[in-house]
Amino acid sequence: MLWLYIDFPSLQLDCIQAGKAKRTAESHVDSLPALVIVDAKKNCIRQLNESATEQDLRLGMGLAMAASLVDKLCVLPYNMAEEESYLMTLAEQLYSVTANIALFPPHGLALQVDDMLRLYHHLEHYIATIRLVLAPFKLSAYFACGYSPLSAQLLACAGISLLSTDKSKIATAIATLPVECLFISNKAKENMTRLGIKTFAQLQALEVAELATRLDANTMDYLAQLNAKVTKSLVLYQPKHAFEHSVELLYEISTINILLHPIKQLLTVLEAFLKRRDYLCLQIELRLFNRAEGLSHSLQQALLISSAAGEYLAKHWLNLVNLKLTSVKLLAPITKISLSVKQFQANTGEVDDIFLGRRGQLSFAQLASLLVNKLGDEKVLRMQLGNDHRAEFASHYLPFMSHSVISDAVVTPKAIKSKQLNSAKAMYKKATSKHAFSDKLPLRPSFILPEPEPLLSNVSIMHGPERIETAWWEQSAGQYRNNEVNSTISQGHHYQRDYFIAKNAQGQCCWVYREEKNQWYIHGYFS
Amino acid sequence: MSYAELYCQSNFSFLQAASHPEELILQASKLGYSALALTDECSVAGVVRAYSVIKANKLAIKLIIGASFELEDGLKLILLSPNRQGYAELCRVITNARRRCEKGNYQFTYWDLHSIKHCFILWLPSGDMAKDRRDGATLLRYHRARLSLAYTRLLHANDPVFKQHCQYLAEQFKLTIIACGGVLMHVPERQKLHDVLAAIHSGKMLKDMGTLLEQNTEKSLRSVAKLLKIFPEDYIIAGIELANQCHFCLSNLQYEYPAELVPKGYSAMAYLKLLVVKGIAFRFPEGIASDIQAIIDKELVLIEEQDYVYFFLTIYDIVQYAKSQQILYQGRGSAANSIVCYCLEITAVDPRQISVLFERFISKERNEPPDIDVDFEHQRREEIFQYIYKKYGREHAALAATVITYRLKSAIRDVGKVFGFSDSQLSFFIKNINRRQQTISWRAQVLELGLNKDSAQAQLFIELVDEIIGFPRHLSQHVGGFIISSGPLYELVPVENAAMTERTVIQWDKNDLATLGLLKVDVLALGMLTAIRRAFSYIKQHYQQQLTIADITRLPEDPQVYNMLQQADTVGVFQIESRAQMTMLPRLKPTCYYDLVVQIAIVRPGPIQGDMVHPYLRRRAGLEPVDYPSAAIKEVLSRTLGVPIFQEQVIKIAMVAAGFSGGEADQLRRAMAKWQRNGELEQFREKLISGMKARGYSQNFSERIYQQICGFGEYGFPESHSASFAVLAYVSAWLKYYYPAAFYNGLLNSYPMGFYSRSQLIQDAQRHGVKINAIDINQSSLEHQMCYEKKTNNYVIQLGLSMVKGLADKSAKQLLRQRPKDGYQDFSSLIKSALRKDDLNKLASANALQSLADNRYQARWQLMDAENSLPLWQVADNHQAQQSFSFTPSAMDDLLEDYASTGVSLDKHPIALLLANGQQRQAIGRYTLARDLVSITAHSVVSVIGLVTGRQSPGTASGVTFVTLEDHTGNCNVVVWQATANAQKQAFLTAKILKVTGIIEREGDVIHLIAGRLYDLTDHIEGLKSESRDFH
Repeated sequence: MLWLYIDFPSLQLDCIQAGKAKRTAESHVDSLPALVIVDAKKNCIRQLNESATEQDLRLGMGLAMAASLVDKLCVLPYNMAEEESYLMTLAEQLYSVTANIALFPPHGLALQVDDMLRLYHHLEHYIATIRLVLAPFKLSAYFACGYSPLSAQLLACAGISLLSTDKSKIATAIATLPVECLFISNKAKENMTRLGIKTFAQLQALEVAELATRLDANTMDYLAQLNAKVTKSLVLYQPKHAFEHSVELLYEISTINILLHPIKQLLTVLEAFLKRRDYLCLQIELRLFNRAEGLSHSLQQALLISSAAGEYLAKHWLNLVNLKLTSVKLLAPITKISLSVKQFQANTGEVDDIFLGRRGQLSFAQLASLLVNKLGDEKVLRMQLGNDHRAEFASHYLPFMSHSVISDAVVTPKAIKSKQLNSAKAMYKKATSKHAFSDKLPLRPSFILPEPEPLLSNVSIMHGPERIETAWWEQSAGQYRNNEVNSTISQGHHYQRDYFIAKNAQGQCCWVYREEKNQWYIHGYFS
Repeated sequence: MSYAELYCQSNFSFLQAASHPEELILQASKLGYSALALTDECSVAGVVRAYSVIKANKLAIKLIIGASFELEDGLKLILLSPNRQGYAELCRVITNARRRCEKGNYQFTYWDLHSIKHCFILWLPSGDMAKDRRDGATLLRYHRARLSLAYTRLLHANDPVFKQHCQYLAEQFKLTIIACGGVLMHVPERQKLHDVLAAIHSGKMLKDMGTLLEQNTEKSLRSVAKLLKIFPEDYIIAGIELANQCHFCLSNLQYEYPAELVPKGYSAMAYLKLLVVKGIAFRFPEGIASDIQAIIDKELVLIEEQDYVYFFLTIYDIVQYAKSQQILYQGRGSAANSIVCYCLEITAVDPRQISVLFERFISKERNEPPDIDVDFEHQRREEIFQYIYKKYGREHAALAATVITYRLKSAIRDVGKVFGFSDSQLSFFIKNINRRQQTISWRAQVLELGLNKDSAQAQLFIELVDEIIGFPRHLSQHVGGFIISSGPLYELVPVENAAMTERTVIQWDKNDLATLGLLKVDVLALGMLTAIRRAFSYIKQHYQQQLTIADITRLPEDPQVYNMLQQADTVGVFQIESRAQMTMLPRLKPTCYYDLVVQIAIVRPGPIQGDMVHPYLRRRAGLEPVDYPSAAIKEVLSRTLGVPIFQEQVIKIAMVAAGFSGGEADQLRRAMAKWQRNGELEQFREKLISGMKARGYSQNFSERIYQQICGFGEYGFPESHSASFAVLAYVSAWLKYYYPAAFYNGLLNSYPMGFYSRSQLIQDAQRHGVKINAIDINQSSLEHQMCYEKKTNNYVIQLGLSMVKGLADKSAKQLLRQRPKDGYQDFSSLIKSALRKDDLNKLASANALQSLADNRYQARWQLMDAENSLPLWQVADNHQAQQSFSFTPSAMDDLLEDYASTGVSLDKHPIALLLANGQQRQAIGRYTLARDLVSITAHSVVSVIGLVTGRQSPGTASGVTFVTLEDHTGNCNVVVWQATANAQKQAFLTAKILKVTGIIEREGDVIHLIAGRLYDLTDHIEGLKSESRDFH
């Protein structure tokens, strides 16, 4: 059986560069800095771009050495999961033009050729079709044919592109390969080299029976599969199970209302999917693809739709999608829609009081979901405690769907661990800290002025001072704060104020402060 | 009015507080505090530093020793030691709390709390009423008379509520309230650093710390006026009164030596005198000269006066044990080179050989503690440790601590993280900052590496990295400094667990011990002693000659040995085998023992930075007159031709030429030991230079002395140590010259040690005519052995099985045990030894089965046959291997296998093989072999090729790297300047085989090649597994 193996030796790097190249003008591509992808475990280079090669970097070189050789080195960590997911995407694409695809993660695919030749007639035609599908990804790849998936793999991974159906040609190419290239254990390879066996041809010259008493079973098995004497049981690609459905539109749609129909179809499929598993979902992702921009994931329009309470009904989700779409502008006519579930939830059943008699009304969570989807995440806020000494940030608004950070700040697991409290102590701390924190919260006014105002009237001091002097590292306090941040805060690095609680002539309790230069301001009022 | 601060933590509460103990004391004194209690968390590690700064500056402030604790349920309190008993109690509870946990942690229990009988207790209420009521009742039950309530006010919003709470508790439990600061920094400006430390502690970024940070800077030492404003006066007075009741001072610590050292019926001094008299009879059998006797008497008087008798007896006891176990040792250090130590057999330095050294070491006026380090064989040092633990018990003996502090790399990493820099960026900075680059500071370098210099973050990052450097990070164990006492150690200083199991360390480091006058015994490990002891035993076994170190030093100076040293033929010779030392030898041309003392000390940062090397060499060569700026200087420098070489000399110069008092000189000596960390030396600069100027010395000379002091700071090297090392250098050179086979065998069996790989040592041995036999299962033992060879009437070294990479000792021993009398004759007899197949394969690859098979590949092929392990086969005789396999290795194959399996090839060299191939030779072009360099005239251009066997970048050589290239005829020394290296980074950094074209430089017999072009020839030999030993 003839197989075609495609090896993508720099899959992760190519994907990054393809993304980048599209974003930047073509002329800039040449001046890319030396870029290497480093295997964090071995701390050595796994993939590298041309510029890096030109500057004497090599695969397998240590990071320290690479850094010493190249002044401006761009380093990215190797991510196997990412490569595997790219590989899956490639398989998905190829599935439309070829039948049997065997995945060799993280960066290889083997395609069974014989059957396909009946369709394509010539190997060249078949390969051309495959290349056409892969072309948009701009990947560097080695293609090699072999009469077993493993022989094709051996050639492609050794960097030999061989497209031929000629058995002897293939056999000759394999024979010249060093044993280093074989996919066997390092120990087995070492055993061979330390017997003086350097090439595959030397190995083949030896009697199989003699080899069998000397090499381990796995190696012998591999060699048999390589020579197509035994067929490797391959797991062929099957489209995935997790919920990710898409619909190719027969015609381009640019009107939202019309778009809702195919979306409803998808949601109905989702409903059935959820029902069968007794699941609810909290968040779905809708991706809108457009033909003009191609299929690359970076150019899709993705919409996240969340529900504060788990739902499975298509009706409910359609409602939310509808609300969401009212605020979305389509970038281009849509050709394909995909729907995936981002967050599932087990259906535990909600306890509803049968006598409450208010059925049909929206719950708080449902209302919040409606509002969030209608107005956008950033528009629906709720008051939460801020993790900051400064009054401006003691409480602030955060998006409804996000969670408060304050409790996390009070007890840090690492702080506890580092003190090596024993478990009883840690438990005690955890149990009490939240409580203690709310007890010890400083008294803050219920009304804070949008900007502190100079104190012009006479006041009598009741309590104080409370000195707040912190945040010296912030060049601009507003950098990562909410938008409602008072603009005066960001002035200057040094924040030192003495706060007092004071009573004014009207009997109001005010929150006033004195700055270093002895200037007085009023910052808020107590209720 | 004054103030007593009773709650103050230093940076010895690791990552909690932001000031050194010294800074806290100085600032508190400046602010007019009457007392300061240092209360680090379950630690007294910082108190000696605080104490020493009070002593040095004669401050009036009282230091109270205490510690803070937190119990499992969150109860916080402070213990203060009022008197010696209280202090012992504090040390005891700290020890108990620390010993319960692994290194760095503690667990303070109610059991510990209830056992407190002397310490004052300050209770820090939590603010939670229910809990505080419970805690108050518990504390009161056991500690009514010694309990007070500590009230801190930090200008928080809830201050009034908390104050009411404390007042309520005080009334309820009838306690006095004491005002406390909860101090974590000496000045408010340290807030930044404090916040950074807190973020490091929490493992978070600064911007995410929020309320975990202090809300203001009130945890600094505040002025008395301010404190009076925020605390009621009676709280402050209560604090002062409590402080007045604390009388304990560290100067009260009386160190007591274990009494068991002295036999009954003797006083310690009488016993020491007796031992010295015995020693005289042993060391001077022919009778002692009166002048030497006079010096001994003088030394004994000094030892008695300074109360060092027990110290000498302790060391005597340890070395006697070593002697009884035939463990070779050698004492060194200021006191070690006294004649008393020679008589006590602590050192082998014969005073008659080095009369010039007399009297210089124990110096009363310099107020230095006696310094005796004893080096033991590195393979057997643990036996000495175990002896000490066994003899004195763990209660009485522990190792001193070493305070591990932030250095540039760790500072960049930790500070960078809290500022939000990514790990990879920080790794990039750390890898690329060249600390040796003296002209460009690390700050400039980090900006060059892409840190945005305009960003405020970057500036803060740089500022804080600079500030955190030198901050203690954790306590580690000293390499071998033992402290031994008669009473339980934990009443003298807290003892805690070290990272190594079964090891305990005290909370003070060696400087702290010196400050308090506590003596520590240094038990160090030295590889060369192992090698020498082994060489001695081979000589005794094969030449029937019994030698000791003292025997060799007692012989007259041997011109032939010195001649060898002058030729820089010193591979394997102790201390003078490095490239830098080898370069110096032909220039300095040592001819006597004292020249070696100078030789060892001169190639060090001190003399090099002080620019003292060339003046010394010129004067020695007679190119420059020897003169002295003054008679006082002449006395100090006459033995080194007017050029200061040793640490003792520059300190002495500070005394005689700049007017330093004995105490100041002692401070200078200590500052030198830690100047890298604190920059303390700077304060001495002015005094030294103006002092010398006032006494008529030139600015230039004074500056050079100061520079030299700075150099010594980086790596101090005293004459007393050099003198002891010179003995070992001479002995090893002597052995190399007279008994080369025994010498190299000793070195090889003591590996790893020294500068050179086994391959280099073996090649050197071969060049010295020592024949080396390859590993053979029928000839080799586990270790390398000397064997007599009839044919040549000489000894050869038979390499041992220990050299086979990956072969376990256990397997090798099994192989030897099972070996038939007439050796393994065939594979079947070998397989009967039941060795693991893996191990047999390793032996085959190392060509140890050469007697059984044509070549190592054949041997492996036969061994790999799985049928061999079948029981039936084991009894069958002489199984004839079948065979499609017929592989004959080429010379290169053999070489690669040699390197892969043992790291050494006896008869093949990669360069020789490379050159034997005509095609390769043509590709390489013109070259000169190492042996032919002698005949090349200076300044001519040549090319050399060789295996890169070493790259050394000494810190003092400002960017120069010495590369050693080895071919089959010898070594070539290549000097690569930084610019050359930078321009040809790839070849410079990665090449295993290098061709260098450059210019020959000659100075006397020393030949260097100054590199121009570097060509990487590694690809010419694929898979060559040689390893270069790089020293940076």
